[in-house]
Amino acid sequence: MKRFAWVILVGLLISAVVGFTGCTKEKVIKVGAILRLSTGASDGLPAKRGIEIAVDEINAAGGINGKPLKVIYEDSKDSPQASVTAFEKLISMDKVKVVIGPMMSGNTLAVAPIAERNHVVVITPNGTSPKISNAGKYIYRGCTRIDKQAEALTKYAKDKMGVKTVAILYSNEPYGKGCNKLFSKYFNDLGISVVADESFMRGDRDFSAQLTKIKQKKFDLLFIPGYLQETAPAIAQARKMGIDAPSMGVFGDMAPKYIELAGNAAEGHVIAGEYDFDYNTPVNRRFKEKYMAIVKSHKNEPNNIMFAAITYDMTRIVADAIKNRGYNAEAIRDYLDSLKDFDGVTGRLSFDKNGDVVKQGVYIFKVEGGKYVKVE
Amino acid sequence: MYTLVALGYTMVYGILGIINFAQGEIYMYGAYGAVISLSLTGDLALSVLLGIGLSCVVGVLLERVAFKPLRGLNPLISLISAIGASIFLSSSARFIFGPDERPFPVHFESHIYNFLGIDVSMLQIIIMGVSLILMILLYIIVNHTKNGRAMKAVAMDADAAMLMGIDVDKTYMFTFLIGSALSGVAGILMAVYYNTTYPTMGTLPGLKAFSAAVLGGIGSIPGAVVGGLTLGVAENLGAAYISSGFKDAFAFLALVLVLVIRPKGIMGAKR
Amino acid sequence: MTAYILHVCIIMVLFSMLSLSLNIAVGMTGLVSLGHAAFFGIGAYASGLMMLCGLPFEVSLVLSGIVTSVFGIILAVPSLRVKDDYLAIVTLGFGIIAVIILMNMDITGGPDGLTGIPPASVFGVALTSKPVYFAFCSSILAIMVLTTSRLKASKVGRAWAAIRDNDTVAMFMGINIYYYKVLCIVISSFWAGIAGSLYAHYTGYINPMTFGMQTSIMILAMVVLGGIGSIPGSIIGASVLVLLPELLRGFEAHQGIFYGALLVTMMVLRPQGIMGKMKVTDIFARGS
Repeated sequence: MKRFAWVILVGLLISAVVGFTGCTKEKVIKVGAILRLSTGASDGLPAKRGIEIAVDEINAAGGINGKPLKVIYEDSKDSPQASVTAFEKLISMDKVKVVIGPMMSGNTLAVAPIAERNHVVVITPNGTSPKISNAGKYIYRGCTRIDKQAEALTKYAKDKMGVKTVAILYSNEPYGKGCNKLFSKYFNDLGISVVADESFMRGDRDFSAQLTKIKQKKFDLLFIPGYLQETAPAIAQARKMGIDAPSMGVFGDMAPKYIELAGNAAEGHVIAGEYDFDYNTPVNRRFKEKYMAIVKSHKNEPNNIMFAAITYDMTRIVADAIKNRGYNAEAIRDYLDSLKDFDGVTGRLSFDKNGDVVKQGVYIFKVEGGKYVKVE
Repeated sequence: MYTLVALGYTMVYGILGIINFAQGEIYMYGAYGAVISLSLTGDLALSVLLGIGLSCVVGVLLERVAFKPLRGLNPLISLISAIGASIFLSSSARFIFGPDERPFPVHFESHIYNFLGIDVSMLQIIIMGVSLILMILLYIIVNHTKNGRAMKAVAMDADAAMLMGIDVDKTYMFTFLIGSALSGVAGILMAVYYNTTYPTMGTLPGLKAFSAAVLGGIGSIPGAVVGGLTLGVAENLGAAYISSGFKDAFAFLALVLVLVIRPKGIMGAKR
Repeated sequence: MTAYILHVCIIMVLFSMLSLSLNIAVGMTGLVSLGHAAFFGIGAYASGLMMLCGLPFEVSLVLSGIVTSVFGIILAVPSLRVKDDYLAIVTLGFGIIAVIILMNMDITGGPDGLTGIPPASVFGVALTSKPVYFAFCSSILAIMVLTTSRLKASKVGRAWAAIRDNDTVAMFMGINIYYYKVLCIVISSFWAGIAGSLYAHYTGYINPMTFGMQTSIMILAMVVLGGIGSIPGSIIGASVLVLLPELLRGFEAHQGIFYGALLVTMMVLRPQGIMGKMKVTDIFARGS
């Protein structure tokens, strides 16, 4: 038995080393990606699919100036330390000049100083912290900043929903806390008062303590910023407990999974999202077709077309940059800075002076009949 | 509700002297077993049995592979082995089942009864009822069956038990079997209550249950019950009256305080 | 290529410090701690904040070690009443509470963490080049190893060993177990704090997630893997566990499966750890 175990151990180690050193030296253009592939794979795997769809398209059309595009994927493991190590590996061993990812603000901020020092372009598809705008000249982002989202959503709440009071139930980690602070400020600026303020931890599934406290107040809107694994059960529980006020959330909720987990409680939920499924352009129609085909053939895999859409656009933009300006970081930066009206599936895109993506305004969605529909 | 998993922990610890960090993962597999079989067969009773079965299989395998070879050695070593096992189990679950959450496709009538001023739902009653029944069952098994008494004997002194003709090895396995079954049931109940199953669902409950077991006094079955209830109450009270963001901190704070005041846990242990 | 390798090496050195500091408590004195990463975090935040307030690196480094020791004493006082496995729980609780506090305080940047931490600098020269920093950290590690082996062979070390083997007997033999236990925790947390400071000034950004239970457990695994009580073992254990995820990069998302399997396999195959000896007192369960 012990001998057998030794054989397995050695076998595992050998395959590990082989897998590790299997970087071939072909004539390819290598680009890096740091995604949430293990913890948080519900977001990371769709993001990976988005990149894959783009890469297939690009290579089928002859690659970038004749050379195939190859993306090296690394796992951010939801850890700043792991993200930094992954980033170091990508720039040092694979010698990439541009990285798509990381997918969380904390991890993006962690790799930012290194990117700046080594002149590597970083495009985070969904890091929303405002701090990213000032993180450096080489740091870009493919989604709307959370404060712009806050501005739009609070205005919508006031103008279109007539909200005067709001209760907030937020996720107690960087994202949720940030949202709580930010949205509270925007609510207050518009004269909407925050009557309750409770929080939960990631992994929590029981919100009865917090909801009981909230229920004691009167409010027109229940705002729940956080990740859908918690926000969905939260709204479901709220409804079960008899809380009727309409709900609002952030773009993490924009996934079929949210509706699946929240069930009927999702009806009427308002969020700001990055991708409009019904956006009617040829590019988007083609993209949708390909993505839905993948979803069909991979039943066990998480389905979140929004994350795929963002990375799809970013990958295509990067490929165009390299095609037009050559493969070095400054050239890619110049291209991104001067980009105008890129025909993306998430809209007509360009980047502002901080490196944040600009679309046709902030998109607001509402759940109607079990589906997200764009209302603004 | 942490009580069930706490019971699993306390049994394994009290008798084998090891902290099974992977207990939470056994709980998770139980839930998955049930969810998958439910979507395949549609039969609730059968799915529950299959779920429990799966958690038992996982538990026993775990014992054979990760713990048996390390018996008698410094418990820290088994601890690390348990951690490795826990990582292995949650990663494989993610690989096999996909990282997403799955809702539990059973609907219970959501009657809310008012009991002494507290709202209690039908589901909560079912959970409490099941827990109670299992605890009574466990008590009977431990105190009145041959295998159960064997467990107590081994817990007190493994060598003496062996001399008396008790098959220590089988007893360990049996302990794990029961412990895993309990965790499996807990996992299924949780999955139904929160309407969700996902690969890492066992980690946090595993930790809290471990704390509950210690709180009540490791090795003591009624202790595990008391520990579980105390933990749940402390957590929710703390959340209600002070900041809810610190809810988890309260559970642990309570734990630390109790241990400092009464180092053997609330009900003390024979260890 | 080399930048990446150096980066991994620096991380290995820092974790070797953590592993060795934990081994002082666990391996030499028999005090099980499941919350060691909290000391790591306290040191990191303390040092980061101090430098952000303008203190020079040399001062921040040493002060953060001292600050961490103070917290160590705060932990030590109540936990000394508690035995063995219960101690493990208390330290676990401490670790979790520490992280939650770090996440909720605004001065520490809350969950967003601390950005823009200035790099380490000695005599005004910033240590941003990797080979230099590696040398710097390694020399600190060397100092740590030397002082620890000295301690191990001295009266202090022998007292610790006596406590580890059976502290009731040690007490009867006239050893002041409280003093030695507190001393152990002070030294152990001091070095962990130093490691934290070095880490903070290397990465420039820290956030509470890095210092949680997962890290504590990993440090403990490094100790056990390398051999409980063995000084070179801690370094080897740390290096192996830092290197492993890097080697497993070929497996992308399935890393967890292999990592877990390898951990179990390694423990089953060589329970005494890589450098450990099958000495009765080191590895057999106490009192059984």
